[in-house]
Amino acid sequence: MQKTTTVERLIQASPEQVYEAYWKLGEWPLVLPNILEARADYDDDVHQYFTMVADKGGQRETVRGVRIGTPYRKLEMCQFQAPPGFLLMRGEWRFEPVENGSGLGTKVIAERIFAMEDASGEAAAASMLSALLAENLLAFDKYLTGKLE
Amino acid sequence: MRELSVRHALSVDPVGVIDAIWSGAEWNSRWEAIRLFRVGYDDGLHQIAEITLDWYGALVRMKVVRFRTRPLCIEFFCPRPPHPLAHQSGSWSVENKDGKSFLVATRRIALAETPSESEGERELRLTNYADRLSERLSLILPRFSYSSE
Repeated sequence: MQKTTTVERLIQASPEQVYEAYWKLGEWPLVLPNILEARADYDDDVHQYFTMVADKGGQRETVRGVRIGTPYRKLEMCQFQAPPGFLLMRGEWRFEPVENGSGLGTKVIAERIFAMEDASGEAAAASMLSALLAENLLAFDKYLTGKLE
Repeated sequence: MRELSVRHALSVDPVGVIDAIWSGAEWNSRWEAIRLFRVGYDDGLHQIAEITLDWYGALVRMKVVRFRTRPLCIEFFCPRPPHPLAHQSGSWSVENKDGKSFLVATRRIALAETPSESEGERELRLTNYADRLSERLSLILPRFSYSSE
């Protein structure tokens, strides 16, 4: 059965700045220390076919997939090879402009849709994915805030 | 970059037509130029496939990523376009006009550059390729414009 996990965070940068940071895969290793490599094997500004290598507890995990961008509003992602233990892993980031006292910010909504080989692990997987998404959002928040200061 | 569009009137259920275009098995049975249509991933919304086809007597290979952006629309791009292209993307969709339904194929193509080729020569080569592709699409669309049931 497919499950959905959603996490959101307000980032003090414009939707354009946040979207561009997520879209440019070359910036991912600068944002997240566990990302060893990230490259677009194909990029026409709307579609990306990507390869990403992450350090997972000392093990190199390679992720391949596609990302489809709707500039400054949404970035959809689908992994063609799901992580170990998963049957399906896809999702999206949505970027919503937010006016507040500090100027224009962006509410980033990170969503993952997944399915497990063993359904008994769904709850644990949802917690793990939520934590990873929260870490990811925090890392991009710090990266963008640092760049803009 | 060259854009082209070919359409064919539909008289059958458009959902079945788009489902058939999504199916690798249907391509294998409906279009004789297909030598191989191997789907490597398909979650119903995203698909990656390796295709080998006969292009006017020459076998060409391509990798295609397809995704259903709307119920009656399949968009695609080629991380590895077929020779001699450097870029190919496009869509298959059903459009309604004046109470009639049409199956529409769109393409955006660019040729790989050839050393010592002038811009005019490449434009001519692109025009010739686009003409052949339009001719091909005008043959393919009727193959998917009927019900297999």
